[in-house]
Amino acid sequence: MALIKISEPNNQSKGNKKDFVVGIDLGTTNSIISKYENGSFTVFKDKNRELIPSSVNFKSNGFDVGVDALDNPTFYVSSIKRIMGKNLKEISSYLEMFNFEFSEKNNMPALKINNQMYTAIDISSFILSHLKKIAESSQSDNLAGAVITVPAYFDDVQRQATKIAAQLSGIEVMRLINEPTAAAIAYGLDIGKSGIFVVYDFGGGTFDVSILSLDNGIFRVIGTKGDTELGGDDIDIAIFKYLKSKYSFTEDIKISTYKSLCRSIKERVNETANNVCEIINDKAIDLSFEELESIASPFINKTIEIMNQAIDESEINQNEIENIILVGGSTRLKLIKRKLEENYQIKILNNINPDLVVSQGAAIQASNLSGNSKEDMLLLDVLPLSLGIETYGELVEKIIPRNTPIPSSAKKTFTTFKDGQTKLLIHVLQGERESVADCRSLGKFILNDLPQMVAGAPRIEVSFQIDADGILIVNAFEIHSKSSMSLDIKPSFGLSDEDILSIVDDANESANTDLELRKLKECKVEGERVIYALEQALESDGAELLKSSELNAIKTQLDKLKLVLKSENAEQIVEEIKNLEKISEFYVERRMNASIKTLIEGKGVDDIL
Amino acid sequence: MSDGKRNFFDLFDLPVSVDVNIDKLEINYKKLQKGLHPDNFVKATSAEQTSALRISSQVNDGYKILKNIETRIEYILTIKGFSIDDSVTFKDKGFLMKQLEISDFIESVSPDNYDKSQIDLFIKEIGKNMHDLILDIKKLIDANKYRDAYENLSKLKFYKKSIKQLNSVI
Repeated sequence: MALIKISEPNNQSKGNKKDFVVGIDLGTTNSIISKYENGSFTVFKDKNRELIPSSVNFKSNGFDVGVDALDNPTFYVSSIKRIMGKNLKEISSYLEMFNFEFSEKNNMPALKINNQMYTAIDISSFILSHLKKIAESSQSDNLAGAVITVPAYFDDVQRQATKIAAQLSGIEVMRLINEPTAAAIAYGLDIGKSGIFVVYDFGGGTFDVSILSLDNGIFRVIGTKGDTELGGDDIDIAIFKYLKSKYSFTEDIKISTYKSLCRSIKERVNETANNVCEIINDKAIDLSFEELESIASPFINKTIEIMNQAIDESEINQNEIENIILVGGSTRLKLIKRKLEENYQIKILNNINPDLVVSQGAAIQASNLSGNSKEDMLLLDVLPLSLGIETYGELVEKIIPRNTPIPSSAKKTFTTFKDGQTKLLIHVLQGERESVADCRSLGKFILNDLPQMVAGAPRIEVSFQIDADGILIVNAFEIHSKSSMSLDIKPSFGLSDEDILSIVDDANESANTDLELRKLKECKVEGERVIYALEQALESDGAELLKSSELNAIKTQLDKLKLVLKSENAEQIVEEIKNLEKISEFYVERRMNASIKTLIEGKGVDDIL
Repeated sequence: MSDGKRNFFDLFDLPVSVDVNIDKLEINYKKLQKGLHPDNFVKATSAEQTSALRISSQVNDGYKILKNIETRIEYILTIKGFSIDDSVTFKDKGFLMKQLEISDFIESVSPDNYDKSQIDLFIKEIGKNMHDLILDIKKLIDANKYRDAYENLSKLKFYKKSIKQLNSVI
């Protein structure tokens, strides 16, 4: 129920192409892009494959992505998701998986290929562009937006990185949702019953467990826990290490060369429950089912430990859990189902293809957000990791604890400790540990232009807002002067907003020479959208909620915008849109408040009591 | 929201009270989010999106505060104009002895060797104390004795923490 319903006033300008929306599972090993329309799924295929390798193969004259990247690999990059939003130090433990050296760009690890530097964001944006191209060409329509999934345990930096990659590839992100939640949506629709469900999501690179309650179309995440460095990949590496010592290979054989072979051995041994023989470095090797299970066992035990903690923290009893839902290709390992059955007396669901289920859930949510879905559903998610700020003694004070439903906000008042101090530094961190060194630094915020007062006199209120994607927005203002404060954000790594804009602009410039014209067009569409929305609103309740003087003020500004829309002046249009939004801000507020009343009182409060 | 005219109880259409109809809170929480969550505004104007983000956050924050008895009492005290100050010293010196007694008991319990009936008795007694404290807090708030209510709230928090500690040991 949007308060102001918007139909697309400018649909005709796009010719006869329709808009469509998709769900994207941007995976460590494979990615899947699908759409949900009229109750059925379409998975877009790359050369007949639904699972599109999350791989890029660099050649001397460009690069191939997806299925093509598998042909004649020269400089083949895969599993890049594992380093998304991380710095060089953090990835040191699994650098051996990669066949190349990392250097640094924008404080992020980067690959140097053909004299160009590529970060995980760049590589991911190539993969996303490829997915977009596949969907658009098979659909011959415009991709209007996408819901992209991320591991539930991704922190703010990793989420931001994913969003930036999508922006760079020209995909409009409607929402980032958590992978286990997406899977629950797909299953929820499938089973159609209420209750508490645990999603066990074991992918190539990450493990997530989420506990959700399903109730009449409301999917509410109660708690989530996970490990972003625990996945099927780790079992492949363990197999390699095991074989290396069993057959006394010399030190110079590298995991990066044999990783996919080890994965294939794992899959075949698991599938057939028989020994598999292979040749590594001219030596015949073999692995039995029992050996595989004993190699994989410690990893699976760790997932069960995490799952127990998640159940404990959610303050639910095991007997309240309806089902365990298995998600992620790595859950095909027979050992997982057996261990889960040993530990819990709960029915396991795995009837939807574990490779596709996340993308399906994302596609359902995309269709839901686009307003074209018949499914009346709402997703309420939580913050996966606590948010805090640095205080004295390099300790972290939590301001929004983990598992808080999002969106969420918190306020904190700061003051100065030196006379005439004009700047203040706020260091924002994410994580559960107490010391700064053990948490993830999200960035440093410098408050400028504090009013010059004696120490302790200024009252600076900083609000921390977590949006529905789980991403942090910081705002600050000084209470006495009521002035908002300019805020410099120094991301600990990654890119600042300006960096992103300049990259997106650069990309656009090369693709579209007439940037100015495009900008003007976009302003006009936005202006028409705002006018349309506001006029619809005024028609429905303007007379009721506004005094005639207020109504006139808004109408005057509406006319101003209409007039300037006829011109070719993009800057002026933007300015007048801003003015209109500012002048009608209180009206939007009033409508929201009115709708709070309707929502609660409108339908049967009486039958509750 | 505590500074405005509307408080979280109003938002969820509940009377300001230590006792809350949890079912009604749940139902109204879902009703509000169903209409106000940012997902409903993906195609709306940015002014509406900002507004929805803010109000939806308040609904979440209010839900969390009202759902838990301790934060709920704290919130009522704030609404009543009592400013919470952790440095207040307690009048009830006898409680300090009780605290020591409880802490000693918890320390004496080891995971491999404990007397279940003794622990059950202990938990039962704490439960009764908590029940009495809540009744007391209600009376104190009605009598505008917020400072005393706050002191009792601190005791309530201690009891709750003790039970949690004990449960994590066994």
